[in-house]
Formats: sequence, C-alpha cells, structure tokens
Amino acid sequence: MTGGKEDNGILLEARGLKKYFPVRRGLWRRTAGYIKAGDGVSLRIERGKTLGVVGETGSGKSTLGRMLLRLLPADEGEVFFDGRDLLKMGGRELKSARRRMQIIFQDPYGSLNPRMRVGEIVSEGLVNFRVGTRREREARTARLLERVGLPPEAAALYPHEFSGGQRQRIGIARALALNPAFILCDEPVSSLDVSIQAQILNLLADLQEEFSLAYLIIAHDLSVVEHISDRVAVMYSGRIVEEASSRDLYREPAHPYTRALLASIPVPDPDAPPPGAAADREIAPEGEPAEGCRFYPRCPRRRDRCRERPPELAEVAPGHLAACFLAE
Amino acid sequence: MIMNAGGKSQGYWISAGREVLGRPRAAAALAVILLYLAVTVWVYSGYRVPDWESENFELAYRPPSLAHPFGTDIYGRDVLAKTIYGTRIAITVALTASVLAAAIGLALGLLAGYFGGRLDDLITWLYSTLQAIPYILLILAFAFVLQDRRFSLLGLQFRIRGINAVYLALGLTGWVGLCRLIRGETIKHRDREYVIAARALGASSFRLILRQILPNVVHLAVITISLGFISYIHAEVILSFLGLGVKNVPSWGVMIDDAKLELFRGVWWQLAAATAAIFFISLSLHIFGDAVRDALDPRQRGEGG
Repeated sequence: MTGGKEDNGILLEARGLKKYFPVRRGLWRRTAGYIKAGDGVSLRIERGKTLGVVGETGSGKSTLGRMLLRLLPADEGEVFFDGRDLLKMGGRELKSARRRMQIIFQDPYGSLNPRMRVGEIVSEGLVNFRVGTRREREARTARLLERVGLPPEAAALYPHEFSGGQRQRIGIARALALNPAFILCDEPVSSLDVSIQAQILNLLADLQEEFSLAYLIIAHDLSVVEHISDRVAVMYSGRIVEEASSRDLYREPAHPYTRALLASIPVPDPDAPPPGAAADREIAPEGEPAEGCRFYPRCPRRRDRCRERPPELAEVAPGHLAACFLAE
Repeated sequence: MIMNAGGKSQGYWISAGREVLGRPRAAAALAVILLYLAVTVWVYSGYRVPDWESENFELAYRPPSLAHPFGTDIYGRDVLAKTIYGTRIAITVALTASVLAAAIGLALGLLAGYFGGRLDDLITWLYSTLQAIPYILLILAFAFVLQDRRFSLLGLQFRIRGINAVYLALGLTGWVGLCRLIRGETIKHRDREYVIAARALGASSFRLILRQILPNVVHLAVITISLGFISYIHAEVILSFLGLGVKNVPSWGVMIDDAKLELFRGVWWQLAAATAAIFFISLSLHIFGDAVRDALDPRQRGEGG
C-alpha cells in the first residue's frame, strides 16, 4: 500500500485480517464450508483522514470494521493502533485503547438502549473511565449534545422520544465523549432520509475538522462516501479489490466491480439511460472458481486466466491499487 | 424539532405502573393483594391477633355465627383465626420462593445467555433435566431430601424444618421457566448494537450484563413472578395437604386436609373458608399479573383487560 507518508502519520493499520465463519449443516452440525467475511484484508488510515469502504451487502465491510476495533476477534492478522498491536493487548491495555477508538452504527433504533436516558447513554464512556465528578460528566454531556445539534435538555429524555436523525446525533455524541482519535462509522446514514443524510455527513465532516478525527466510513453506496472520504476501498467477498484516492476511484475505476458500482448510482435525470449497463453480460454458469478471482462469475470482462489464480492487489497508477489482471 | 414538548419524560416503569393502576380491575386486585400482605404483617407483629389455639370441646363444630363468622373446628377453635394464620404461611412461602426462584432464574439465565458456550450448555442441561421431572414429584423429592437437614453456613448452624424445606424446594425448582426466558432474551440483546457500543466504550462484561442487558429483560422476571406467585401458594396448599408442609400451625392446605373428615358430618365451613381465601388471592394475582404483563410487554397483550 502506498500512503506516500511516513509511518508516524498512520493511526490505524491492518495487515492480512481474516475471519471465516463456519457454515454448519446437519444433525451433527458438521462444518460444511466457510463464509469468508474477511480474507486477508490490509488497510491504513492516516490521522485525521477518512477512508471509505464500500461494497455490497455481505462483502465483509461490517466484519472488517468490528475486527479493527476488536469487537469481533480476527482469526488471523494484525491491527496496529498507534503503533501497538491491538489484537495482542491484555485487558487493561485494551480498555485504554478503547478510549481512543469509537463506533457509530447504522441503525439509530437498535444502537441506543431503550431503557436508558440519553444522558446516561452519552456519559456511559465517561463513567467507565471515571472521568470527572458526576456534575462534570453532566456538564460534558450537555456540551456534547449541543455540539451535535441537540438541546442539553435531551439528556433527561429516552431514545424513543427522538427521530431517526436525532438518534443518530445521540450516537455521535456518545462516540465523541471520550475524545477519540478514530471513529468507525458503520453505514452512518443508510437508514436515514436523504435530506437528513446530508446533515449527518456535514456534521461528521465538521467534527473531523474540529477534533482532528480519523474516520473509517462503511457504506454500500459509493455516492455517500465520495465527498467525505480521502481514500476509498472497494470490498468484494471479503477482499479489497480496489483502493485509491476518492478522486481517482471515481474518475478512473480500474476494477470491473468498481465500475459496476459506479454505474449503479442512480442519476437524478429522468432522461438518463437506465443504470446496469456494466453488468449486462450473463453470469458465468460455472460459478465461482475454487481458485482465482471471486468476481469471476459476475465479471463482464472475465477471461480464462481469471479462473486460475486470484489477482493480487497491485498498483495500477501511483496511489491506485486494484486486484484485477486486466487493470495491470 | 419534534420532541416531548418540555414535559418531564416518563420512565418505562413509571408509565407501566400508571397503566396498571389506570385499570379499575387491576387496581382492585392490587388492593386485595395488599390486604393479604397486610394480614401477613399483622400476624407476624402479633399485635391483637385473634386466638386460634385455645381449645374448647363444648364449642366443637359450631356453624358460622356472629362470634365465629367462619364457625369452629373439631377442637372448637375459631376457623376465621385459622384462616388468618394460614395467610401468613401462604404469603411467606410464596414470597420467599418467588424471590429465590427469581434470583436463580435471572442470574443463571443472564450468565448462560451472555457467555454462551460450555456455561450455557451446563445451565441448559440443568434446567432441562429439572423440567423433565413432573413438578409436584420434584417438589416432593426436594422437600423430603431437604427436611431435617442440618448444615452450617458462615459458622451458623441451620436446621431445615418442615416448612423451610417447602420454601427451598419451591424456590430451587421454580426458576426453570424464568431462566429459559431470560436466557433467550439475553441472547437476543447480547449482540444488539447498543451492547456493542457500550463494550466499545470500555464497559466490562459484568457492567454490560447489569447496565445494558438486565434492564431490558428484568420485566420478564416481574411478569413471571407476579403470575407465578399463585402457583407457589397452590403448591404450599398441596404440600401441606399431603402432610409435607407446616405442622401444628394453621395452613390452608392443612385446613382442607382436615375438612376431608368433616364434610360427611355436614361441616362445610372450614373447607369453604380455606377455599375462599385461596380463591380471592388467586383471582387477584391473575388479574394483576395480566395487567402487569400487558403494561410491561405489550407484544404479549392478550384479549380483554
């Protein structure tokens, strides 16, 4: 990977993360195969920068995110946060690392405990780390709520008294409470109305500038991450198939899957030709090859050699990586 | 901004309490339950409690009258006084067994559901085994085994007498249903995003269970206890009827047992008094428990109310 910067600019680095979920079948629950949600994923995030991760449902984006925060144990691989291996940390060290890395979820309903008041939700981290006195925590909670655009009185209310966008703001305030350096945003706007999506994305951008936060933003929609990301990684079936600066990726997509994703973004013009032109070749009848490229069956430009061995992620232009033989 | 306009936000429990009390039938049922509890406290206090012990053979088998509203028994003892004393045993047994069963059921259910794996297998095996044994037989077995056991705890000597064995037997067998419910519900909540968020905020497993999961499942314990209370009262009656419960102290079960020999003489009032006492508390607990369930768990809401 080419960040083009020195190592000390890197906040988070993952190397070769793997996560295989066994698929069990039958009475004795034999392992019939594996779902490869993470199959050797490596990435880097610089301080204060944003990496967007896009891919379709089931491509392993959320699994990747949870492995990065060690909310889900990785089967293999390393995660360096601030230069230290997160996956080797013991209890106390891990807890202190948690302080600097946070998460925002997709579902603003499932991510807030319905039995807790907003003030308790936002100050949870402060309590866990024994930050300040009770009064100081309340004051900080009020400031956090104001910062994300909610009145401080919201602290006394329950989550069900808020709209989806407001709930997402509460989730953001909770993530900010401990002054993290990194926030994982797992589909932060996917379940919100389009008009609210822009508000939340703008809020995230403002907070990034104010607190010099690094983001990893997961989305299934390229248009969401386009404006807020510095770099974008495209995932397919547990692997990163292309990674480039946001600009390059949108201008010169190298991987056929990225092209298909870009082509599927709806254009707000009724006279525009319908999307989907990129994937008009029929699905290969032989299915996914045991070796070789995972995208083979759906690839409009597949060749025989794509079946033989998997393409490695390689530089196709400065700072632009793709895992496709045709892009080399 | 759409938001609760300036008003104070009602918590889950407060609004549920309001909903229960807002139903006239549930409120009346609660009043009856509180009356039984008050009688229990009264008997324990010993302050001007009616005399049930003094025997007077000349007064044997008197039918209900002003002096003895529920009549007298074979020894000429006042049946009303015996019924009042019986309340104490019934309520004490049911309360103790409920607390014990709820504590075990909640703790094991949360542990099994949260940690999963071997611990879950062990707890599931334990309650499946207990559940496979017919309930009354299980209680009988526990009561027999526990009876007259001596054991020491923290340097204190304990001896389990008849009725204490019943408390323990009921509590030690009654947690199964709740445990299974709590386990299932805990598994459901364990991977919810708010639990993951709290873990990301540095909360320990212990804190996750108590702060995040418990408040979302504890209503099941409340529902199960308020509906299960009746079955403990019934179990006490059955065990006392079978001679495993209290001895030498009035109990509704003992009264019904005595009535076996009285009915053919036309002495119906002892049976009637015990049955009425059981009937009113059962009915009230049912109505109240149903209202509690509807208020705390609207998804299970049934008909009527």
